[in-house]
Amino acid sequence: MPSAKVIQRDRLYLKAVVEGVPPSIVNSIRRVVISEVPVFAIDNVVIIQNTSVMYDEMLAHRLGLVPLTTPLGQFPKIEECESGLVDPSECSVRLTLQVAADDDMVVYARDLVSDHPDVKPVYPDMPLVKLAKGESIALEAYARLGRAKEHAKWQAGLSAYYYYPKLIVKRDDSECLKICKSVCGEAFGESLKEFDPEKCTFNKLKTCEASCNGSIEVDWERHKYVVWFESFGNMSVDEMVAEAFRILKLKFSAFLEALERATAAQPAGGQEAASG
Amino acid sequence: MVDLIPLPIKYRVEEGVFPTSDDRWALVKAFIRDRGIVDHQIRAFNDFVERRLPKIIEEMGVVETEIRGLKLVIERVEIGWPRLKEPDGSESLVYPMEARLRNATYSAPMYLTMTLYVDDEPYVTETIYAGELPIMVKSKKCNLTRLKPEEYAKRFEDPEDPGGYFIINGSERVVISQEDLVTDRPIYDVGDKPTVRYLAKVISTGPGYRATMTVEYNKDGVIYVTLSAIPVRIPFPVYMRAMGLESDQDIVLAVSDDPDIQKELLPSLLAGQEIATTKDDALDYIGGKIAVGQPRPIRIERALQILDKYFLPNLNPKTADEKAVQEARIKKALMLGQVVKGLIEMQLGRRKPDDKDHVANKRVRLVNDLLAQLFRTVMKQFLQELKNQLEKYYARGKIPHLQTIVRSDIITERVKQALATGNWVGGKTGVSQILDRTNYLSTLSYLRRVVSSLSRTQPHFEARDLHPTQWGRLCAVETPEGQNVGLVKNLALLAEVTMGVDEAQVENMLYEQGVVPVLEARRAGVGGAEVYLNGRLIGIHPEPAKLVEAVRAARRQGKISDEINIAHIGDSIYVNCDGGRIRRPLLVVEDGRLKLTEEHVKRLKAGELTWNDLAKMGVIEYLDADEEENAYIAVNPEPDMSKYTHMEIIPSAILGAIASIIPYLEHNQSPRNQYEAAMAKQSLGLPQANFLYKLDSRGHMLYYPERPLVTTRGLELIGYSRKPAGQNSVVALLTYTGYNIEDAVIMNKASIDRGFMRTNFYRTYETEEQKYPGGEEDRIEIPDPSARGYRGPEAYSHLDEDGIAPPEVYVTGGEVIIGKTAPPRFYMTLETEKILKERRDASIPVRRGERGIVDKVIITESPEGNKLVKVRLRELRVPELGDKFASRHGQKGVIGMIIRQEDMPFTEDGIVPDIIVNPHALPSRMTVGQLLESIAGKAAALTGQLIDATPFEGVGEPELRDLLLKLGFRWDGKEVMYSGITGEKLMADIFIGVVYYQKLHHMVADKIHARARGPVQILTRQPTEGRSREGGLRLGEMERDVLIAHGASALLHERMVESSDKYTMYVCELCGLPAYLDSKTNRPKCPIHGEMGQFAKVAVPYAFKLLLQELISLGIYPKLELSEILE
Repeated sequence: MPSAKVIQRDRLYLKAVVEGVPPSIVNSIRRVVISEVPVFAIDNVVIIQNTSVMYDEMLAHRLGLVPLTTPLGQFPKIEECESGLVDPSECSVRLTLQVAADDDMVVYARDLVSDHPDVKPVYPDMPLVKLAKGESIALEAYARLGRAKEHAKWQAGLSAYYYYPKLIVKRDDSECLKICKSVCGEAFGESLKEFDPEKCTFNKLKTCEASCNGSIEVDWERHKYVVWFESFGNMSVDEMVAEAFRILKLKFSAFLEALERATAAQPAGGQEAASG
Repeated sequence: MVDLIPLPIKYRVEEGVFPTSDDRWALVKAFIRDRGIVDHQIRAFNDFVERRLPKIIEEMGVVETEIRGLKLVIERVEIGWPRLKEPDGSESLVYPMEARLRNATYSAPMYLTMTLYVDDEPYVTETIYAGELPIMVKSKKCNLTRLKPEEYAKRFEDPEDPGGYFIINGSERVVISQEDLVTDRPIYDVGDKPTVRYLAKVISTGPGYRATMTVEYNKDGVIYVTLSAIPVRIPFPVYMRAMGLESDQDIVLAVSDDPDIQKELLPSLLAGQEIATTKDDALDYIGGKIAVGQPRPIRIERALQILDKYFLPNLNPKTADEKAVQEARIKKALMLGQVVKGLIEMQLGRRKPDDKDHVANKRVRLVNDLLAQLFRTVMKQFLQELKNQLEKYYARGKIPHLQTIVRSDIITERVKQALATGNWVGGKTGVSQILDRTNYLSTLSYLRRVVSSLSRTQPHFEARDLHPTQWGRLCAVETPEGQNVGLVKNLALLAEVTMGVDEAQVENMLYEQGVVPVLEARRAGVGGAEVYLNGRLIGIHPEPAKLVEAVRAARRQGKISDEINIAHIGDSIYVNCDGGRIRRPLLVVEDGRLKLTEEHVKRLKAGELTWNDLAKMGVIEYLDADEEENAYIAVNPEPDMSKYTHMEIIPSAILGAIASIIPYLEHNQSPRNQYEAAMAKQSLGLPQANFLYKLDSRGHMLYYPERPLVTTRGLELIGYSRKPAGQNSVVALLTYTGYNIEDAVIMNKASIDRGFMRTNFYRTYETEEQKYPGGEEDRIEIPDPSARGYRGPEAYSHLDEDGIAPPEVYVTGGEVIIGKTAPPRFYMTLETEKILKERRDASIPVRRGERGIVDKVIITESPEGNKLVKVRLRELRVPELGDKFASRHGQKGVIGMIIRQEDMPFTEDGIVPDIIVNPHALPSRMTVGQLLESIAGKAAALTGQLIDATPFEGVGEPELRDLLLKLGFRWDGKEVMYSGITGEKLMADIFIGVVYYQKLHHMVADKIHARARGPVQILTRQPTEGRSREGGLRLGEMERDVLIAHGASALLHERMVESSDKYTMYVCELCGLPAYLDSKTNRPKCPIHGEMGQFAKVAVPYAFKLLLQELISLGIYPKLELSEILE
């Protein structure tokens, strides 16, 4: 029976031990987080004036990469936006940037003024462009809900996992313990046997295996992983993971539906294939 | 100017023996800070202006006319500051950027002050404007040198631009340093013919010309001399006699006082005796070879003339008084004696043939030399013209103002022409070349290039090999592949080239030091070592070791020029003070101790001492290849230095500027470094800080250039980190999808989305409103639809009212960006009046297949006063399938697939590679440096510090391993990775790290090409060739062979005829000649049978028809015999 135990959690970071599923399932949630969770990102820029030395397209590219806070609840679902079920304007937010330099200055993400109070740059201190005295920029930027499948600027966060490590101690080795302690820190107690797998990672354990001359062997528990999620700040990690699960479920049901449709349309399909 | 963020750099931990790497590189820093990276170019140009030019003027000092008492004496020459002459006559100071943008020449006026003598009385002294002299950017005469570096920006100049080039008609041109065999001294070799056992050649340089003397040791023991001016073999005593050494005793003494050598002279002396026994007889004999059939006095006269001018002209006197001439003749005779002695030494087995590839036997001709050569010729022509004019006026009884008869355009145009085309006087081509601005390194490399004059078609294997004496002088790594390998070289980082000091002064200094003149010494029987000055025997010194010591001491104390080098080789002393020697600086070791102290380094770092101070103090000295033969050089400090004479400043002294950027270079297989040196020059980055204002015809700029995480000290010093050309990339070594076989790489789509390796491509289009005779002129405007060649209204839709596309407009291939009309051509005599009035469309369209945004428009006036418009287009180049990338280890590859982030393999930290390289790229190429860089880069990225990987001094592998281990990573750089597609752990652990990658300028967007149908050539009616002409892809001979072998004749016919140049031709069956179509009757007509011929219609390739016609035009009758088509 699949189970998950959260071992670390704050607003943007979540780490859990997941058990009882094949790697493909853990991987699919990772993939959805990376490529399909929708966030706002600037997609269309109308440049009214740009006398800076930075080219319009380069500025637009930089604007696109500015992470914007994305309160998903306040907007239609991404599928509705994509299918055109809702007015596209409901899935987009206008931001404006208007700066004129009285002296040499740096334009920061915070200078972007949003029409929507909850869609604004996550990190106000991101530098966008430097202006020399007398230069100015005036532009309208349209942020849109989108997915990272299309462009990395719509990426909501990152996720990865590792196999749950299993330490097999062949012989006690103080030299090995010393190395392992320097690599894995508090995961080890007084001897190699006193090992807390949750405080070390698979790769780190492999690192100490490689320098232990066979005193230890590292294996992994089957179908057990430590998975972590990290939001880039557009939304909390909880929201992000919830949205990821929603999308994943949708995909599963769509897959099931398609499967059913396929079998319903061709009741004799299986036989045909067999005879053919 | 914004400074770099001072990132901490991790250096190798050292045990602190003085001087440490830090101390030694502080010296290099001072070297580059005080002299600049293209110092040899700038110093050479300054030398030309300050020394060579006045010297040429002095040489040509007096212009005698045919008229008695009428002459011109040139007093001096002066060069003004660069300025631009407007067509309206006004003048203003010009800075390089204005010259570049306005297609002008960055040049300064040259003034000559001369006095006209009439009836041998000074008549008038005038200062005249003689023409324009192109000025090297950042030389002493450049307007920029009068500015502070902070003010450069106001003139749109990059303070870090090295300078060292000229601006001719708006384009930046470099004078490439030319490597040549040493002149004015003998080179000994074995004979090239069976009759000649040994031979020696002296290429002697006179003012503006060269004369070769060949001395041969014949099989019969006679030594013959051949001059380029007198191409007949004459026994050497004849020449000796002609020069004034009449007796056999004198002749023998002029050769040597060694009885063994003297014995060998007998056959020659006998042969000489047979020809002439007195000076006049000898002259008469020589004169007989040139002035055939003349009476004796004239023969003697002519012989003397020739000998004084073309026999070893480097020894010609400066003044023409009788005493100096006599002295010079003796000098020449002694030089000949020296050469003869050398040949006999070879015969006696005491001397080996000279090594022509030894750097001591090479000289580099820099701008000063090349410009002087050019100027001498031009000046001669200028003065000739002046003389003619003067005579013409005088004949009419007038004495004109000099300025009015001076043709100032001679100098201006000839010099400009030579610099603009690279065609030098004397037939050398490619002397000046366009400065490559692909990136900062390519610019530097161009300015530091040294080209050998040897032909590239012949093998010259030895000349191409790396010679040990090139150590520290010419880069051991950087040379092209292919036909130029080893012939095109680059200066090593610390190399310098001498300008030359006055030989006469050095000669006097040597006499003062106790050198006894040759004849004197031999007559008096003074023993000791022979002393050669610039290859010429000047005397004997009884105590050679003392002389060498004294000269070196004087040099180290700054009493004599530091350009003087002295070497004690064998029994001889060689003193060199000529120009063009590549030398290298070394730390002096005296009495087993370095002269460099910690105090020196401290003060140097604090800026209280300069590099030149150290040289003057004798802490550092420059050695040429000769003197280095006496040196024993320690690479690193050692406990006991007593056996050494010098120490290297840096261990990587063999490397040039480009090779210095390669991290862990010493761990790579050597050709890989060579490949990288070539590729670094193709990488895209930030070529210069003022690129926004530079309208180069093409250029690139990387969006986010990064300084390498794994750096070298050389890289930081040459300024690469301020003008980088690449990005630090996470690189994994694995065969992921298989789309990285054969050196392809896989790139991460998300990285590309985020701006990885994005570049801008710039192309400048320009046109000028030309004026034609008859008041007609071009007009830059939107062409009227009635203009000939009008392209239709859509093509001009982007143009503003002024006929130029405005900035930030998106244009594509074929659309016009500068509208222009030209007046009609007049030779269309058959056309009607109406046609004559029509203007032609001469608009500038965007190149076919290119697109972009109008980036910058410049409207200005050319120096000729024409309206000049330049439009620069910019195009964003995002990495795409097929674009080329390379690491800094000669590992290049093209993108084989772009994979999305979620499909990329990942580590437990969520790291995905930017680039996946195939592991097969490594074993056979042995670029271990890349693996080390990868590990170092990983450690650098994780610790937030740069890691030093300077060749031979970088952070070592054990240190890197410790560093990684402390960070919780495996010491071998491998990590557990998971497939992004299946989610499963990859079987093998993957080597992943951070490597600096470069985007190379070979991009698919510039090369992609296909054609279904398109233009054909007019002559052959076959499809055109090449992408720029929208050409077809050739189905070549071998492809044809394949189809024939396969029997696919229909396909072959389709390719070679139907889809190519099919032509239907009538052939007269009676005579077998192609017939032509008579336009009146619309019937074929045979050239022989007229309409009465029997005509058959045949389908042939048009090229075949053309061949028949060409044969006919040669008078050959190609007879076609026709038969039915076999079905």
